[in-house]
Amino acid sequence: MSLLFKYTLICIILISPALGREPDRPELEIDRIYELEDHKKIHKALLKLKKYNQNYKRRIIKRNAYLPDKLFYALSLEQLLQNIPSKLEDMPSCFELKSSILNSYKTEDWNKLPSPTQHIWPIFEKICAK
Amino acid sequence: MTLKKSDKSIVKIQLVVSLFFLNLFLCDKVFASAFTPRSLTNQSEDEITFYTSDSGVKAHLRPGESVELISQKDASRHVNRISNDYTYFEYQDSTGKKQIISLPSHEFEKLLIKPSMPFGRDERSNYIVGRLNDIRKRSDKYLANRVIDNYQDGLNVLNANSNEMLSLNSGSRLFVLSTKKAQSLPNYNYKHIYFYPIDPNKNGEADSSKIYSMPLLNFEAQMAGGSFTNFLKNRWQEEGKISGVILVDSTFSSKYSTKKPKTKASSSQNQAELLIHQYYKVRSNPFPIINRLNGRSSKMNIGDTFYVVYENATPYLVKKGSSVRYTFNDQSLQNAINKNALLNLGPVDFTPKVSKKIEKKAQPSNGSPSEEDFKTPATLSGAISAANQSLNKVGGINRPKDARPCSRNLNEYKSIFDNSCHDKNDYLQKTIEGLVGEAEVYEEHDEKYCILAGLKSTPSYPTFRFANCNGNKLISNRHQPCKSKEFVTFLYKEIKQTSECFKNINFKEVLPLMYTESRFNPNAYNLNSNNTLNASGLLQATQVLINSQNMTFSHFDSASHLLKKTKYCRASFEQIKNKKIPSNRNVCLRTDVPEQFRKNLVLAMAQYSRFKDMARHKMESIEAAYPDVDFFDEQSKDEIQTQLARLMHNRGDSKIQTLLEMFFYDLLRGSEAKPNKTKDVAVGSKELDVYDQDGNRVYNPDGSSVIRSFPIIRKHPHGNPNIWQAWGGDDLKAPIGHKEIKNMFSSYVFYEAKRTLIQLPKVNKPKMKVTQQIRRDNRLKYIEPSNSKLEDEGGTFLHKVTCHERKMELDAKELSGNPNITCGHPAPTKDELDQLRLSIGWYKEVCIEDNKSEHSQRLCNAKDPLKARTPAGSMRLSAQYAEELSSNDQMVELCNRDALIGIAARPLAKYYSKHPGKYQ
Repeated sequence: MSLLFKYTLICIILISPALGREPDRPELEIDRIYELEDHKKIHKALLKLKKYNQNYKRRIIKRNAYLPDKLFYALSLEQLLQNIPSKLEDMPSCFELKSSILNSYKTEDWNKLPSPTQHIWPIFEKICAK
Repeated sequence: MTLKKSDKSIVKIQLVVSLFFLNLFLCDKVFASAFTPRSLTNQSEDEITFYTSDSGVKAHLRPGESVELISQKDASRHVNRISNDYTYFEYQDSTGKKQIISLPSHEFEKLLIKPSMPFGRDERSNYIVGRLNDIRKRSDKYLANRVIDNYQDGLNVLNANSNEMLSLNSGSRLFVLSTKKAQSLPNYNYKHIYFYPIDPNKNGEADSSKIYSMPLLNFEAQMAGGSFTNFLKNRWQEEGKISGVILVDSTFSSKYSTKKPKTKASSSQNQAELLIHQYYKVRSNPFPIINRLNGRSSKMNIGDTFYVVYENATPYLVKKGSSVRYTFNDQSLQNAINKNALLNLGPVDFTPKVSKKIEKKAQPSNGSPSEEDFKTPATLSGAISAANQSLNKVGGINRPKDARPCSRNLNEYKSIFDNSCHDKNDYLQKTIEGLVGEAEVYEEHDEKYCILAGLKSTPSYPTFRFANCNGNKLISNRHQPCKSKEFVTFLYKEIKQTSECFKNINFKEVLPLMYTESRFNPNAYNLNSNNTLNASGLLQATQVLINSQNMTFSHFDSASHLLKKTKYCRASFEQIKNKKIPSNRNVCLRTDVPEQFRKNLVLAMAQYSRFKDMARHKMESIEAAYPDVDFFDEQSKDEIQTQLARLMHNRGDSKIQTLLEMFFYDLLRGSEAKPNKTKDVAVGSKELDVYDQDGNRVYNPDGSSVIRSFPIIRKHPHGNPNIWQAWGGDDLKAPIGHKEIKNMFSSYVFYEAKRTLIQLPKVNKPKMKVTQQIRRDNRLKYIEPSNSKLEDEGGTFLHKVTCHERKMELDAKELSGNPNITCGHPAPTKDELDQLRLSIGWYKEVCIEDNKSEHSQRLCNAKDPLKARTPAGSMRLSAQYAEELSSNDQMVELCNRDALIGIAARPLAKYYSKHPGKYQ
């Protein structure tokens, strides 16, 4: 009995950091980034999210399941994150960034953009040049 | 004395009968007066020129001479064919010989109201009073107590309170007062129409403290010119055309009856008499008709518009926008006429080539003058024949018709250009003449003919607006620039030079896109619904593209593989980097030739080049994601990139990239969907506004748009798992080429594009912070898909561009006399073209002809024309019929939205219906 308890405890200890590092959905990671205030940290976290989102997308495609809504979210997020340059100093102005996002959906109506846009925009707004 | 009850009844009956006869008498008088010949004397000091029935010969009415105005019926006794666009007169020359002469009705109208009053004061005032009454009547019917939008900057109106002129800006709105209400105003002027301005600060309420007015004739001109609009404008104008015809036809009789034109004068053996080449709309009493080709019976339904043609002395009915001939039952048609069920909509415009060809057949070739003799050719083919005619007559020698000059170069064919630019359309000419060398002008290039074909088929204002600027100030937007050989050469040179700056762009591949976007008019532009500038230039660069131009160009810093570093390219990139295109919405700053126009073109082309590169990347990433499948045909990759870049240009790169990945995911993983876990639910429908043949939106009687609905039944807000069943079939299997992208992916875009608006379901997260919850709720807000006409744009765009490409090519061949010209890259194969022609023809000629209901439309979209069968089991489309539908002439007329929707909807229709297989 005690052996089983120890084994379970070890498993939990080993698994929990991994859970902390890699959230199960990019949306949750966006929520975390939102809490950050430091520009550099936000930029770094966005680049990390970009990478994570790509892996997440690959995982969805590889799975033997049909998860179109999750894939759609990941694809839309991927498109949005393409606007983030690899260097923070190359970050475009908020006006340009917003225009570029609108242009990529060929619309002037912000409400016509897919769901991650409104979610992630407050984060973009924190680091784009005013 | 008291009357008995029965006596009272008798008196009543007598009264009614006598009133009836009185009425009949009066009506007869009115009608009779309309066609009473009337003498008109030239009271001016100048000659008035008329057309005679001999082609090219004109008659001159000298001062003091008179003509007799005659009805069309009388004219038809002497002239072989009459036209409702013309007014006819009898003229007796000095030798006493009588002849029939004519004038286009609009010219006659101009003469009537000319301030110099060539026909005298009375005729002028009579005509004007009639015209004013007509405008007032129609305005009361369609515009009174409604709001109209002003689209023009600097529109002059009179402040009725202060009697001062005011200038209204574009975007202002006016509430139209009824005549009754206006008459109660102090200082009412019967020649004016009155408005209240709409105050934008008061929730759009009318400000009744201010009264504006405008002369009625001016108001009509502004409506015709597109300065004003509202949802009933079309009806207002349509009825205006009819009453305009009546006014002229009734020879400005002082009665000015607005009665519907009476159907008359025909050679039908029965009593059913309709004028040939006149549109009639069925208002009631649908009547049976029989398709001449396949013998199928159908009906001329309420709302259908048709005209009559004669072929081999037999009358046929032809529906508007179609060329199918229908025979009819004489009695049924007679009944419809007797019950006043047919509304005359005026003469048929025979601009489309196919109709013209058919009309020629219908016309007896006895050498008699025809309506064509009076007209200047308006169509491309007409212009060509005119050009050939002028070539044939060089030196006064009439060469045989078929003897075309052997050498075909632009110099010899210069008559295909506008050689006489006038003050309204030569505003770019001088600048352009300084930008092209003489030798360049006469260089022979296929693309020049493609460009000219586009320019010549440009729709007029207000479908297209053309910026004529003085510095930064827009002077006019109505006139297409003069299509001179210098202008075409300039465009050829600019497009070539710019496209050659990008390694992944072929000059010819952008031609169809430019044709669709601007018809090669460098100063073409369009407005948003709120009248602000949206897009401008050859590729219609949008406002959001201009706003994000830095980001577009910054991509090229790290993409040297896309740019050629020629002197010209470096210079144009440097120029635009040093001085960006201004982001304020001033069309002059986007189109001014050459500098601003060039920047605009470079930016739009740079974006297109980037799109092609993105398409290449995306295709690679899709192949990497599904390593077991070789998705794309190696040889078609460039063509697929072109198709995807065109789609991205139309709907945005993010939208298309996302949809492309979703498309392949659905095809490859859709079979993994677990139908037992989630049930199909109707999440909405794709609703589309219905447009008629002319591109005008169709309205219900209450003024609301007619909507056609495509149901969307699904388990998920995104993607469609059912389409995996199409994968591996004849129409969709690896490796796929550009044809599959055009057909199958376009269809996917058609159904799915709108759904990207539907948000993910709300996530339950009990311990979420309040701020997060608020943001999340906001993010997950469900956005109701709106009825936007743009939503089907993506699905139909590739078909439209292909259709346009074909039309441009045919016109270019005709212009040049060279049958080998191509205007696209890659040139479509014969099979593709046949399929396209057949699809369009099928949709227009069969589906719309037969079926009007929503269900039938869907059924029609779902069917493959080559497989469709009648309920009896025979082929729905006979070989003969298919051949007829496949004619080039048919196809080029049918690049319209409705037909294209049919093509886009069909390939995947069965996977988007509630009962898959039902429409097989």
